[in-house]
Amino acid sequence: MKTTSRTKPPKRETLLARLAVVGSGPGGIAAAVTAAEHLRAGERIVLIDEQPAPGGQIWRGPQKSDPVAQRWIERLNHESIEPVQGQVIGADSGHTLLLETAKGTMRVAAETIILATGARERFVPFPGWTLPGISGIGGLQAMMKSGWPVKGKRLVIAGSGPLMFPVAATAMKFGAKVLEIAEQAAWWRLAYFALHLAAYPEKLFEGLRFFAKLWSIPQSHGTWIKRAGGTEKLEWVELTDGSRTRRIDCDLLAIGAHLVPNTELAALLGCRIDSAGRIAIDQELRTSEKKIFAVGECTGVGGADRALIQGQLAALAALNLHELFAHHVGALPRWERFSRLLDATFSPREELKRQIQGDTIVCRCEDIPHESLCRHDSWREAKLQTRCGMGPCQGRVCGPAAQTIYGWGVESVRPPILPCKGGTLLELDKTEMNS
Amino acid sequence: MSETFSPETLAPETFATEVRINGRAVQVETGTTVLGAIGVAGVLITRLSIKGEPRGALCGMGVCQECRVEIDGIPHQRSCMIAARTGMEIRTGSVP
Repeated sequence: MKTTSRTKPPKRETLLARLAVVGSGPGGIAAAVTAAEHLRAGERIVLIDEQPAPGGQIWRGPQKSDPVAQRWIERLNHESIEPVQGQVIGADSGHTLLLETAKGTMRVAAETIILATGARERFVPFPGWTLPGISGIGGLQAMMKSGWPVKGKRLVIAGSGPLMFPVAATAMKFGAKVLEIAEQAAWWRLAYFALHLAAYPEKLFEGLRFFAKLWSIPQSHGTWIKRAGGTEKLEWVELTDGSRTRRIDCDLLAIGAHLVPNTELAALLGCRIDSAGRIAIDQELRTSEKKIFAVGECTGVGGADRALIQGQLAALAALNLHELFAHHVGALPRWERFSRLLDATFSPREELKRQIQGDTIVCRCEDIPHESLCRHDSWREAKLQTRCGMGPCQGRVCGPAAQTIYGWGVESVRPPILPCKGGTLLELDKTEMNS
Repeated sequence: MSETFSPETLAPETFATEVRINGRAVQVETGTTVLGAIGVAGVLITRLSIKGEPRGALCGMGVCQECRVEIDGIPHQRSCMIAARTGMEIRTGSVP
């Protein structure tokens, strides 16, 4: 711990740990559990997450139906694992994390950090996309699992990626009428994907299970949203395959063009982000910062299986257990290939970027339309001139949208990386975050 | 928007939490988020944008900030990230 300030303010609670894991989805859980089982007595692991319960987005809610998730979550009950509910909003140059929790601010100073910050959905704006009733595909899943009712609602799911199927299944279970699942990827991309899925029998099996559940729902491919409409809330959506446009009356619309890694904290900690927007890691899951590792979706979208393997490996690497690492590392390349296969299949097609109109909002926090943004040459310039990306979400939604539509590199992270209380800002100032 | 869960359709003991959405009492299952309770009340609009456009929850996981509502007098609370607790007074549709 460095002590830089001359007039030392009374330190708030600082938790010292051998290892801090940020994010308790599959990757973070696997990292924490594996490390806990190899730690020396008295050493501590701090597992940080915003949510009250572990599981992340994919293992959200009670996991009665998923024995794998259940087993991993049970293994978290280990004396050296200390879960902390809070959000990391900054860090100092010595990598001490500053957290905002329900009880106030808190610092976590760990010898090693493993980032498992996951991914979020990519939204490509189209006319009408800000209407209430339109949510993310994964977003709808999260909402339904936390008690948001969909019974009797007419739902259209239009986006990209395998996530659409479990969400459709959940919506059906809760009584929604799923009118259509529309995949934007072209048929030949999907055929290529299906062909390669033969190497992943577990995924193939999963797919077949959903096929059995969802056979009655109309499904289309090479189909995307042209626009949505309604007064005050969503009433209809227009889907198109480029030549034919259909209008469907509906109450809910789930959207999302695949996922984007959450890299804000990594960038703040000085870790390099690669050109595809992932946290850059080496074969040991180490970022460009020596004492920081990254696992799971924040290093590339590849699903829970990949995250579990990466999490275990990162823990072994972080604790210098080279023999064990070498023994297990062989399981990884297969899932790296799977991650690349997902990206190649489900990345947004060109037409998706061209549905936007002049008055279509891009930055939802500041209500900035396309016509105000398209005149600028860079994200930085657009931000300075329009306040785009400077609202409460800090560019997390419009950043990837701008990147997709305008091809801008969306860089520059500043603390706080999430909206926080004034008191927390003062703490942030004390730790000389901007140094 | 009246076709939401009604307490009669499920076992009464699962509805352990009662909150008020814009003054109206709503009972929800324990573990439901504030956003879930807002949905059960049949409300889709969580906030108004800077220009006054109606907005609803988008990301469902704490990222987009569209689901912000006022809880017990404190504005700008992400309703998707907060569990509903008995006695909460929730207001939706506030200006930014």
